Amino acid sequence: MFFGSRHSARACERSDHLLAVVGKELENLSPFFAVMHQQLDGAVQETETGVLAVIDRINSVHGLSCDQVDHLKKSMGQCVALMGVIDQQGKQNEKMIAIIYQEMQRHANEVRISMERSQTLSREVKALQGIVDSIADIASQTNLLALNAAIEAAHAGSAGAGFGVVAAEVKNLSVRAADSAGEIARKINELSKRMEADVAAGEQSMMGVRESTEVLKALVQSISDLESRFNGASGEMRQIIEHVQTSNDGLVSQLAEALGQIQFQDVVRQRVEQVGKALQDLTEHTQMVAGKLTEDGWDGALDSTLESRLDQHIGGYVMNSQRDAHAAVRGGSRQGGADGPAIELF
Amino acid sequence: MGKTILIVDDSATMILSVKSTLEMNGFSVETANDGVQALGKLKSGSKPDLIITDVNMPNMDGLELIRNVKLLPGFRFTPILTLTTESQTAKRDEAKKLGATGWLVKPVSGPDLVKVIKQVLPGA
Repeated sequence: MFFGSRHSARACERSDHLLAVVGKELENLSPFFAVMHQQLDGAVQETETGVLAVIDRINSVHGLSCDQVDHLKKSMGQCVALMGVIDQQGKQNEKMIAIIYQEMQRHANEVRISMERSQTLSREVKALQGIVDSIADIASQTNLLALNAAIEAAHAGSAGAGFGVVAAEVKNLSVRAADSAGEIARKINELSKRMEADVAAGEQSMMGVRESTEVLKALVQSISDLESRFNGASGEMRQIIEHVQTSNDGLVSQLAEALGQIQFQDVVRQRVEQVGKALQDLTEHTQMVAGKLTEDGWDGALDSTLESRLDQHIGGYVMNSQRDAHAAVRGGSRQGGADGPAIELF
Repeated sequence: MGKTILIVDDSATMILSVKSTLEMNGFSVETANDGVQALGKLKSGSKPDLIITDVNMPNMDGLELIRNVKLLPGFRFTPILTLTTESQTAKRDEAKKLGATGWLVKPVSGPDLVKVIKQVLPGA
């Protein structure tokens, strides 16, 4: 009997000791859970910081891309303005060149007409030379005749004196006629040479006009080629800009897609926060149980059980994924209704 | 500048990601961290063309915000979209009853979000 009572006392002591140890351990669960809670909060903070940094980077990429497109658009704007100026200038050039060309043609025509006139005149003047030669020949014949008349007058003596005077006058006339014919021939020669020089100058001028026309045509072609090349280059630039714009639109779409996927952080945060609340609840529960263990005469009754506390969390869930996870462990069907469409317009 | 959208959410990442998405697509964006702050903005002269609000928020939740906005003079017809992780059918039904324009469950891709907004705001 005495042995039994000693044994029972030792058992009681051991039981008290075990309860104290269990109580202490349960109390120690509180900082344990607090550390876990802190770790989860830290993880959420870190993901939030990281995600915000990623969004900043995404915004930077978008900003750079927009700058690039803006810059190209500005360049294109300047290019279009330049094209307008070149087009306008080209039209003015065409007008001016047409006027110059017409003027040159008119000038060439005038030179040609003038040259033809000179040539005709030169031919006519040269034709006068024959007449002058005839006059000179007549003068020479007349002179010879006057000389013969003077000889005959001398043979006639005093009766031929009057005839001798007439013969002398005829001789003088023939000499003057010969001199005049010589003078006219010299003048005709000079005039003819001047006209030949004018015709040569006209031909030179015509050649110059032809060369200038060729240069003008080459200039028109060169301007036209320049405009074509510029139009080609600006067309290519437009294509490049359209390509960059399309790429940028694709980039914006991809970035917007990425920004949508980043929302996972908010989903994860809410799930982690729910776990944090559960840890807090668990802490309260273990403290409550630890307190009960030290109560004299505690009959084992609890204000709430872990099971009931766990099920109370169902009300705090916002996502069906949380409810599914709960139901997967606890059994039963998910509460909160079926999944609706992800996007619904009422 | 495009149309103005007020984003209401207690999550900094949500606010920044949605704001960035919308600004990339030419919208002007205002933000508030909860229903109280959002109502304060509306009462102080802010006149967004659309409100996008979370549902579960501290101080004043999204459903309460919808109720209050619909009572504010000049905002009765302002469209309100909810963007939330909340998946309870009852809350979705309540939002509809309160006059919300639509219900979007996070995460929503940027292009989908913009598509919905363009449906709600013709010409945006």
